Amino acid sequence: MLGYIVRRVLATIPVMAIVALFVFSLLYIAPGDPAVVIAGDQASLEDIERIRQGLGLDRPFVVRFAEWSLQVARGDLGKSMFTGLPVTELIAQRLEPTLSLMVVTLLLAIVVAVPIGVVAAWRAGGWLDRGFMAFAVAGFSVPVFVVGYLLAYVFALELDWLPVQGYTPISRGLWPWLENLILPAIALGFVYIALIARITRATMLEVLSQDYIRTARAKGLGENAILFLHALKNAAVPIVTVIGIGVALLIGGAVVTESVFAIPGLGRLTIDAIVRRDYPVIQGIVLMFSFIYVLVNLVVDLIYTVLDPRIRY
Amino acid sequence: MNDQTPHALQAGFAIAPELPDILPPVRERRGIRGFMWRHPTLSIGLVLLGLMLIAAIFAPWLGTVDPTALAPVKRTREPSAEFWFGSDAYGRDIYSRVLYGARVSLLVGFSVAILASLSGLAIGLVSGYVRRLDGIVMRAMDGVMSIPPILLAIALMALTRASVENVIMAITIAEFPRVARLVRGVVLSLREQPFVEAAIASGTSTPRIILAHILPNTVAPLSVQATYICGSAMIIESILSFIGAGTPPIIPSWGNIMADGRTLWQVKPYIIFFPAVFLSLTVLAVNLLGDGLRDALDPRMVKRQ
Amino acid sequence: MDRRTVIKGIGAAGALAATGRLSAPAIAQGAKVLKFVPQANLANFDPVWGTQYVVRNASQLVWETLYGLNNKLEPQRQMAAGEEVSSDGLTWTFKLRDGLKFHDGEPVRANDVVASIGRWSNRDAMGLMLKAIQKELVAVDDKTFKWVLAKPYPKMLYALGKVGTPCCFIMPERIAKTDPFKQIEEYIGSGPMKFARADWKPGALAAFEKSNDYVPRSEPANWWSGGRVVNFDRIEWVIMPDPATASAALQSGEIDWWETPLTDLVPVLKRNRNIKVEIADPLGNIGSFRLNHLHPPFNNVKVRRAVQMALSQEDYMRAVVGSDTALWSTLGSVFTPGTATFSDAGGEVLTGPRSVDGAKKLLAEAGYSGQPVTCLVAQDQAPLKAMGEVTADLLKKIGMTVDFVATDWGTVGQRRASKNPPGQGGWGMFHTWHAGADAANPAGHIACRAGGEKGPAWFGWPDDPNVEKGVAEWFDAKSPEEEKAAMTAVNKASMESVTWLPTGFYKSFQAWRSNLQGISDGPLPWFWGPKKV
Repeated sequence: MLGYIVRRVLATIPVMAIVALFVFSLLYIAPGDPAVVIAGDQASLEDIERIRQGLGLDRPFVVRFAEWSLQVARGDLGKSMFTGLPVTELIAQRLEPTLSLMVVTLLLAIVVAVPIGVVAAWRAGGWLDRGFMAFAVAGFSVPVFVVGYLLAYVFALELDWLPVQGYTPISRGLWPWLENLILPAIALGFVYIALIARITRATMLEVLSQDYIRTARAKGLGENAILFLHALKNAAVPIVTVIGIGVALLIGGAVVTESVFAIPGLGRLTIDAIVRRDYPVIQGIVLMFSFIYVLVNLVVDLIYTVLDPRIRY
Repeated sequence: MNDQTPHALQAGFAIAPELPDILPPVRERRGIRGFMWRHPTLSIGLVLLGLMLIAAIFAPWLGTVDPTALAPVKRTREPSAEFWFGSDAYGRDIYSRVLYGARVSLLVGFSVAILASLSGLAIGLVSGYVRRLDGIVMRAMDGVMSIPPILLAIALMALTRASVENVIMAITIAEFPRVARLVRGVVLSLREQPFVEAAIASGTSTPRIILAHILPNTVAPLSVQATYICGSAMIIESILSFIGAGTPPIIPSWGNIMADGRTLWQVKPYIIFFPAVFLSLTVLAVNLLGDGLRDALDPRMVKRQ
Repeated sequence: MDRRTVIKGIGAAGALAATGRLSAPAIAQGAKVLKFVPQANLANFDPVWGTQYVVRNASQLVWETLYGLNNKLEPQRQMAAGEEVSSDGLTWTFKLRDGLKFHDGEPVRANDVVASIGRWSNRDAMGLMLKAIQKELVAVDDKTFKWVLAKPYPKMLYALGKVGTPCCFIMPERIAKTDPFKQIEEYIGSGPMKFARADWKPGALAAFEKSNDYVPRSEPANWWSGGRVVNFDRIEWVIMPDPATASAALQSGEIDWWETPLTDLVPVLKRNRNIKVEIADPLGNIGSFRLNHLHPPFNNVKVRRAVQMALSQEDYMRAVVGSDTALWSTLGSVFTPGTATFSDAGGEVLTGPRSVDGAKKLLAEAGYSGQPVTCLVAQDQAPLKAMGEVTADLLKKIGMTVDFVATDWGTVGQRRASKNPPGQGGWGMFHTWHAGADAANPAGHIACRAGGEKGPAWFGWPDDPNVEKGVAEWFDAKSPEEEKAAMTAVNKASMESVTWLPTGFYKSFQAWRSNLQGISDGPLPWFWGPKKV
């Protein structure tokens, strides 16, 4: 068991190495010369060459990659080409809003979607089931920002129940923090809920038709007990898988949601960086998000072993 | 993530379970009506998609004007007889832009689906068949898949100038690893099958084995996956255009039109509304198509008939 | 009580139970904090290095100038207590007023002023003129400095107090010693607010805290002159690139003041009883189509004239400001209309009937063979995005190839400084606008200069000796009639050689919550005066 955990953790290293290589290559093949940008408009060609050498931009790829990797391992992601501020500082400034949004969305999605999926499976074939599943398919088809605008229009502008935009740090109170996150979380979570509901329903159906459920029924256990004790536990593995995979969806959707709701998080930083071609920032964000994603999947895999002792690698 | 996890799970859908035998026997209907009756999801998906394709292909003859023609004098008009879907902030006809925009979105969706499927197929076949390469190829795929697709597409678009081709390439790169994993999974499971072992033992050449035995079995899951990729690609393109990193503003695409309309959504919601509806319906069509295909091709359900 | 408050109340009660804290302190904070949405992102904060208006607007909170313009565009004393000119006009002696202190506690000394002027005069057009005729600029004692010139310069005070960027902000000597072509890294000034560096999130937020050391002048505030009394403890610049979000935020009261509401959204704002909308600047703005004279195709005057012939200012203005003709007008001049010395001589080429066919013919004559025009279009500034769309359409209409680069204002600011050919990081044209206050005359209007690559000229580097002759005449003019004659000459020449293309004259609005009083109009938002009731 411990050996499996260690092996699994070690397995993430080559994956991260590939991500790092990929991300570094982005900056390497990017058009535009950072030395020119730093030197400014009035610099001469000699000045630019001097800066290039000073930055080490004239050394071979492998050397630069090795150096960059060491730098990253030490926690230094370089400086934004545009503002001159360290990328880590820029990311740290924006981390709380994005993480808050993702956590709230995750919790919301699980709390809403799993029961939907369970009920749909339980009442398979009925109008409730069909209704939910239609809603789920629709959820996949509407882009995040459309849902966002719709929600903002109805609940914030027309009904004035919730704030339209912005983010309040949790240090200013739990409710103000939550208030600003409800609509964005629903918008972002829409697709996620659809995904989790569908997979929950499908695996629950699968599980419910299994022999051991028939046995439990025959033994006279109540429906609720069957659902929750046996079925859900066995359905948990695929559900947890999807939750892990869906984090990628969340990260991608956060970019747009933050834009619609003016949340000063990493998504906005990404958009600003890409419009400005601020490669160090783009690099840093991609690296960081990939790291989070790999971490989440690692946790998901480790949860497997807890949930399903049959799974061994 | 388990290698044996049906790849369909990664897209969020599992093979449908067997329904209990409590339904009365259904009278088989013949022809198209029968087909639609037996495969409702598939049919709805096909019809919707067909309508969108017609709109896209026959756009010039469906009552449209030049989608890029500016007429600031007539800006932001509500839907009317002159502007069926209204006019945008520069006086351009939204109806025309939406129909021509269908071309871009459908082109991106289909291109990515095809390109990702083909490249994923090739890599998956190689990886599944050639043991030595399997480890490193799959690690590389894992690596690429670890980068959230939208971020990956954004980063790739940052490297190049905005154009439809580059958008297609960027999204394809983000999507193909999934296909590779799927195909590899199929190849691995097939390789253990007796009939393949028999073929190898009897000296059949590798290309023949692949063509005759392995490929046919990848067609079903691959086509289902391709439809999901198509829908996903269309949404990613719209998101990229929405944040300004997608198709150039000069070419109308649904994402672009919505991006233009975002500043005015409070006062002129129709600018976002129409492309949003078209995009949603198209992605819905493609998703239904995928669901329908999956149900139709599911060996368990086929057996029942 | 509206629904939001009810829900807030329930939520607060829940939060109270959850965290044992009241949300009440947040409400008390509100009265002393001003939330302002600026026209663009504050990506850098060096007003001498970066000449964007948004940088200047923020800088006026943190730094001060020796003089400041009032609403009649007359320079008034700000940091200066007084000035003396020798009878031959060659020696200027300035004295600083009492109580000037930097945010790091040090008093403002003449050395700081001398160093700041030195840095500024390397970047500013009028500063460069002064530098060219300068014999000596030196501190006499801690509060006095002397500027000796080789020729008289009657517009000296205007140069030191103008709002046209870069403005002569006074910084501590050590910071002012930074190379004028590199950004400063410390933001210490002597102004009414301190820059909250720790809170700065480029792209999201910039914050300013009240400086308790600041001693305002006693006169009433009038644009950039008079006493600067700020009635807030903290001013937050909330960056909102999406006008729809800003509009919604203003309506719900989450922000207090929006510098540049989109004209299309103004009707909605006007209907709201809690919001006031007024014209921001009576002097308006001039839209600009800036051409690059260094490289093809716009290095050929015939090509420039072709564009000029077909350009429809009506299209541009409608796209930027909407259909309300009270807000815009065509403009056959490079200068702000409505001033005493205004001239639009020669402007009929721009305001008369348009001719697309004539343009096509002229292009053929010029030998235009399809070289792409690299258009830098900032997408995060609504007027520029709108103008960019019209330009793409215009150039295509007359048969030119368009290379449309959709980017953000910050990148345009960087890239427009490049003299490289378009294929190597250069550019063919970009859009911007000029505030009416700056474009009223050649003094603050570097854009109208045509000194070619060597300067003085703005990005695009037009080269027309006739324009420069007219400008020199304006600087030497001794009466308004002479000034007007000079400006007529400048405009005629500008229209003939097409130094740049004005896309029209327009006014824009600013919007604020009605509980914010004391907002006045002007070329930039004034933060002294407003207070919340």
